Amino acid sequence: MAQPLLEVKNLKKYFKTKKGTLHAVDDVSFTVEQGKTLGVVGESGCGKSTTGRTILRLLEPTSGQVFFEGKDIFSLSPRQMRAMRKEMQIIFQDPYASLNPRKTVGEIIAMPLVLNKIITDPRKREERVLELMETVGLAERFINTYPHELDGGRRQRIGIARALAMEPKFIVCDEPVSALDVSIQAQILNLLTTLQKQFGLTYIFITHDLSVVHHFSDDIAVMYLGQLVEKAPTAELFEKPLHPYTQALLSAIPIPDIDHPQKRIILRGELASPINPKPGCRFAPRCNYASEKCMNKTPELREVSPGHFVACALAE
Amino acid sequence: MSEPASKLKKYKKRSQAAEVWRRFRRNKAAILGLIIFSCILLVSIFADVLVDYETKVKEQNFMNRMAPPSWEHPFGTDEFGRDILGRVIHGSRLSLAVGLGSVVISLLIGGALGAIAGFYGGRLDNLIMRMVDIFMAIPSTIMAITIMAALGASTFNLMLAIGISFIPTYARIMRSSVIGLRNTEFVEAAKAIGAKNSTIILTEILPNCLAPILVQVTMSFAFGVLNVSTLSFIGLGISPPTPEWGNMLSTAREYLRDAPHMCFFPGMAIVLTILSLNLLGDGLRDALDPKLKQ
Amino acid sequence: MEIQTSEINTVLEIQDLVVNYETDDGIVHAVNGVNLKLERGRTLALVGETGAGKTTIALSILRLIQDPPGKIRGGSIRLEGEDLLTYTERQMEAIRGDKVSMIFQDPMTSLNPVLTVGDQIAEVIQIHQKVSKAEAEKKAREMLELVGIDGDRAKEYPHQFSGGMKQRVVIAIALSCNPTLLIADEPTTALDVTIQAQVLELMKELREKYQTSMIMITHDLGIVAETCDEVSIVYAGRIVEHGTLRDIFKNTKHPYTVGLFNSLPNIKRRKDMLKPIKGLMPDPTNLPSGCPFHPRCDHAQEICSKRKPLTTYLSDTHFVECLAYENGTGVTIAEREG
Repeated sequence: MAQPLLEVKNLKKYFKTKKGTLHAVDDVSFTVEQGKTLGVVGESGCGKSTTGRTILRLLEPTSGQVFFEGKDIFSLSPRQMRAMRKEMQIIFQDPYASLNPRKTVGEIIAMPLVLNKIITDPRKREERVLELMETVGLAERFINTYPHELDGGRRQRIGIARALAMEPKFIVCDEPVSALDVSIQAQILNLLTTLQKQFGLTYIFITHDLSVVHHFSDDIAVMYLGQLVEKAPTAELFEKPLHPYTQALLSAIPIPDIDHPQKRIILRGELASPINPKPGCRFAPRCNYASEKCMNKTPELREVSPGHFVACALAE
Repeated sequence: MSEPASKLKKYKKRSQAAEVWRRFRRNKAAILGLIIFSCILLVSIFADVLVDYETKVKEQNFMNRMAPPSWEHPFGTDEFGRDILGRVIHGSRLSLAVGLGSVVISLLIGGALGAIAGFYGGRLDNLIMRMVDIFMAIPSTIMAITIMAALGASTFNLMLAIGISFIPTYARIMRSSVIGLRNTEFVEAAKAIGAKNSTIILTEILPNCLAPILVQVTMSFAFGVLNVSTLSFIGLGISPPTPEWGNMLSTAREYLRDAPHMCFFPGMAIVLTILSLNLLGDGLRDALDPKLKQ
Repeated sequence: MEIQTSEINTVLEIQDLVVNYETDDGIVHAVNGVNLKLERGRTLALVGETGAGKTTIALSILRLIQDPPGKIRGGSIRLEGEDLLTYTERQMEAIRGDKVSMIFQDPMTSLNPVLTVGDQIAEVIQIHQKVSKAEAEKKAREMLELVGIDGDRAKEYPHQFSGGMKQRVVIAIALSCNPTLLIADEPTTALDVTIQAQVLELMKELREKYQTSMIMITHDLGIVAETCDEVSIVYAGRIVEHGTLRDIFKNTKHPYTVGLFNSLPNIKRRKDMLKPIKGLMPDPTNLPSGCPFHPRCDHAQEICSKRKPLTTYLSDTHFVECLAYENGTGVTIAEREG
């Protein structure tokens, strides 16, 4: 089996707060194969965004390792890391906050090329910027406009063009369509699909929207309060969700189909706090199947069938 | 074979300054401030052309002492028979120059300190801001007086004295702007592309801090003018016979009952300058504000 | 005037509503002639994307449009027969919170941070009902219990509640005077999926219990399928299609509605590429000529840019505004694939 493009091992990211230690990402491990998309889903506070950013080393990890093409990212020097950034990029959620309001579209897209001295000839750089704009479907007349003059969909395309500028192999997409209208969402998702085929990209697709992740991912990782609770190929996750949280999550999605009424699993209570969490399964307080064992021992992530991992006492 | 023309030239930039100007234009008070200040600025730049220094400013004419305003001397004459209009015009040069110089000093030093403190946070932030706090604790006028007394009178020392007292203000404004911006996604994006911290501060953060800084510049310019006049008034700034609004006011004090026009015109000059700068500053703040909240 | 029995059951009737925002940059045509009717106990979904005009319609009912720059330029809004647009501000104040209540999208900003939740509910009760403070507080606790929050928490402040619970408090406030009409503007968009499920279940229960008529503004067709009886699709300030759930979901007619359904990633059927609607929402200061959807419509013909479509009734419950469904226009819709 080929070496996975990305390997995450026991990644932890804790934040010190006044009230205690916030376990944002707690011992997360997974791999992503080249050319595939891993969807990472979960609700607010589950740590998916923090995971994405820590993998790219935009945040320094508390512990754990991330291997990109076999290289240990966290052991690289700042200079080596800057070189590595050409291979791994990020698309942000908020098309309004992720672009510098004082730079034109052309300047924003050119920035990676300028900073890393990839193309020094201004004329050639302009050609490349126009090429990128065409790839993402931005009309060339926008090259000198400012982000605030454009709508959300176009702004997101700018972000995508910027991420592609250095020809990366791997892109973390952090909720790239959540802030967009439904019809624009579809356009951007199609664009991301086309780009993946065209350039052989590998994606980590972070979202809270299960219908989008179902459409867009090969594998899905479900996170809850900083922990990875289940990971499986998409079709299998939706057909045979094993973790009670996954089951509840899937049943909670409103489906636009009037002939098949929803059988909802309603969860009790609210999310526990990720600050100084108690030992044991973090989902237990809300789980309909929780037992004594669940409250005391944190379940381990186990592979119960090829490619299907679960962290639940029930599956053991 | 000729290269295709740069596409950038084909699609012109609609500069953001144009947007701000459009909004500014609608504020009548601000336009008034702009007009008045522009006049004052032009007059001071072309002072030599308008008023010949030797004849009007220095020439004394005891026959015509303290004469009220007339056609020949629209602002009247002072205790030495010199033309007050000419002296007021020439005095503007010093006031504006010191005002500008002090702003530049406080902006560069205060701005740099604030940017570094805001961006790096932690102990560096604490260290810098506590030093700045110490400066703030000393009343600005007293500090200016002390510096002038220690360093001696010169235009540059004046700029320094007044400029130093404004460093805390700029440091704070810059620091809070930088703190507000350092966690935005576009800064994160710059990091993701591999930008160094210094690049991020200079190209991503600073250009977005312009708005409150620009407004503060007009305000501290006004204060600078006021402070120069104050210092000259108490004898620590520019001394007579060099014309300066503050020292003109000071000497005119004695003659207030007999020749009120000697106080009035330099005083009005100060008032107009400060008023126009304040109107300008308010207008700028309103024009710059809604810009990003599309 | 004879009042027909059916009218007593019509809680809300809007006719030819026109609302503009008159700004320095031009006139924003937010609502361009909207007609809708809501019967007692029914829930109507107002579906559309950002800028379609749904929130403006809702705010107009409560006369909460900011003036300037918003101006209601025409039409009537009848609540149980009475035209609200003729009411004075005082009369409107009596209605808001009492006969008509609204739930806004963001629970974080809907609640006053310096008042306890109990006080905020009691406040509404006291404004509209002649009861003592003690009685209002008692009723407030009851409302909290009703929405699934322990009554003792009435003394707590909004920041002590999570997003989902804040939204329940907002619902409690909205229902405290048993309104005839409840308007919910994207009430669960800001909430997590599992919390959204809880809140939607709650809203359905309460609606059953009190027979409140409801207008649900949303862009999520899944929520529509679950909670609503009738659907109005809003585009560029007009209702371009309206019908029962079955009409809209099973007999979709307007190309925009079809496009909306095609843009959705569907959990039941995984497709490789979605079929988005090309182009962007029209600029409300510069609406296209003729049918406002024609620049984005795959079936548009020349006549679509020349003439606005009329309202065509396909059945008692289902109408659409599209030249393809009018007789004699020559516009046809090609067969939909699978």
